[in-house]
Amino acid sequence: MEGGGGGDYISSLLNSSPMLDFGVLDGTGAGGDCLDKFCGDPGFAERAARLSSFNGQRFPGAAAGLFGMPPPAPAASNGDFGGAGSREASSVSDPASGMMKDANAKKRKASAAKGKAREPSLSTSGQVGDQKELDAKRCRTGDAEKKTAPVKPKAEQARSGSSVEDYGEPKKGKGKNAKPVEPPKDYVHVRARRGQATDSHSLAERVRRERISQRMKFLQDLVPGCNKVIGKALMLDEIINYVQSLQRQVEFLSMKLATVNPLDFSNLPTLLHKDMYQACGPSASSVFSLESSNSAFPFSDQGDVFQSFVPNSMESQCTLNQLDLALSHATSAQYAFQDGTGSTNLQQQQRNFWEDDLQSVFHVDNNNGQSQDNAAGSAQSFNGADESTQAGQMKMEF
Amino acid sequence: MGGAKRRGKPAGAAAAAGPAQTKWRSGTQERIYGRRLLDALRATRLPQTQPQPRAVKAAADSALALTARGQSRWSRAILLAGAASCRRRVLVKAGGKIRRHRRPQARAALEASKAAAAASAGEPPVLKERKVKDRLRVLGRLVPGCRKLQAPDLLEETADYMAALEMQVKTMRALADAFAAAQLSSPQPPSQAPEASAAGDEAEMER
Repeated sequence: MEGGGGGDYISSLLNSSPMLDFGVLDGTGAGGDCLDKFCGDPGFAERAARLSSFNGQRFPGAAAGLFGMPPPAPAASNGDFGGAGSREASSVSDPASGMMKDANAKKRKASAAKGKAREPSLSTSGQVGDQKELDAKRCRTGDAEKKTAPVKPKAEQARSGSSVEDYGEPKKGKGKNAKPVEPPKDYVHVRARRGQATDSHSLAERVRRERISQRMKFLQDLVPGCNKVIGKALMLDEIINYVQSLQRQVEFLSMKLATVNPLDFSNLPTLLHKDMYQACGPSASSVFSLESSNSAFPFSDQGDVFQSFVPNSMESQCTLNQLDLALSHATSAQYAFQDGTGSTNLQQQQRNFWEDDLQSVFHVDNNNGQSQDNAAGSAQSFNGADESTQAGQMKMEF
Repeated sequence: MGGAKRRGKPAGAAAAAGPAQTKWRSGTQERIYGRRLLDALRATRLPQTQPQPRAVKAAADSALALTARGQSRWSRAILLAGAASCRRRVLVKAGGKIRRHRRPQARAALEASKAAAAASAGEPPVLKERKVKDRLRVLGRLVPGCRKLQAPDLLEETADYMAALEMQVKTMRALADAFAAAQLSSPQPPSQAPEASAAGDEAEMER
């Protein structure tokens, strides 16, 4: 590993990272050449290793962790370098790995939700592997660095906010190592991995592929029964089938609602509150003129259907009447969705209504008498509505 | 409204994927959508005509897109398609693209590509293969407004659209069940026919 040829590497490592405050080893002649190329090396390989296992995760604190941290006690990392030959190599690599361990710690905090189980194994593998990678890529990273410059503007148009964007900061940080985390750029910095092409095209493509695979994984969680399927084509099959089945269900339900609806809006209040008030006439116009006190109950029933989704409170029940009175105002205007020209205005009206309604949800200013009536009324209807929604929810588990 | 809050456009991929699911699964979205749906349904029921399922579906989808607050591409496509042009086109397209005709075509295209892929056994397992591209195209046709979208954005839109559809199905089913339950207890004669149709629909859906 680091035995004979490590001298050049070590000195270049030292020269490139001014935070490594050794003063032990002077830069040799060879180190000066590699200065530019290896400026980011201590963090490069471990980040490259991370790239392979963390697909598209964000590590905003990575660069800070790498270059902002003083060289910590390398005692912990001594065991990782069983193959490190010379004492110089170990003393050099230890702070580097120590810094990387701190970077790991920072990354652990940064990516709290994801991949925590993988972190410990990654840190060890990253530190063991980075020596080999740095050796092998000593000359190639020079090219890769120069080539990633054209990658940036190219990938800039494609994406923004890539998860790997912070990786490039130490790469460019020849003079910027002392800076803390730079603000994340819009474009992508990607490192070439070992054994892979360093072409700018393939780099951007790799980023794109990682992004796609990350989203496919998320979709896999979303679609039931997709866990067993492996492979993009089959998974996309499942996703397509699921979306189609959902759309079909919407169609069937809309058909059902269409057949069920015409009578019910006038009957619903009576059906759910038979003992509460007298039956309304089965005419559609009666729906729209519900502004009397009787209207307080029917709309609260309809609202209760959906309140069962949320643990309802007194407030929501009370404000529902206010909302539904507003709704009846809206419907009395008798606009239709088939009217394409008017629908924009109506949708805006709707939005205005909703915004008012939503504000009123949080500002509960209702009469006490009204609230008590609603509580009494909706308590009875809630059980019926609850059962129906429970049945509906159970059917949903197909 | 808190439930509809979401990150702006140029944000990270990982940040965007999560909230899509939690946003649609929250109860607040269901309530909002439920109210909007009721409103839309009342609107579709012109006092003279019978509500057509197409109109109901268009209303439901428009209400869903409205609940999404136009933050996703598919919701914008639905809203714009509904508001854009004349009545005829709205009825057909308000559900988001011409799905009625496209769906059998999409399935046929999918199966055709599957057969073709199975026939050509010697294809190298490259990541982005023709099969995957075909399926992505089909998916783009399914999600409204995402036909000419690239893979990562399309997958993101699909995730959001799927979550929204799930919520829509859940809400509509609850509403339909409430209506059906109300009709069951109703002494009125027309309850017989919707009852039978409701049972038929349920059986058809539960297959």
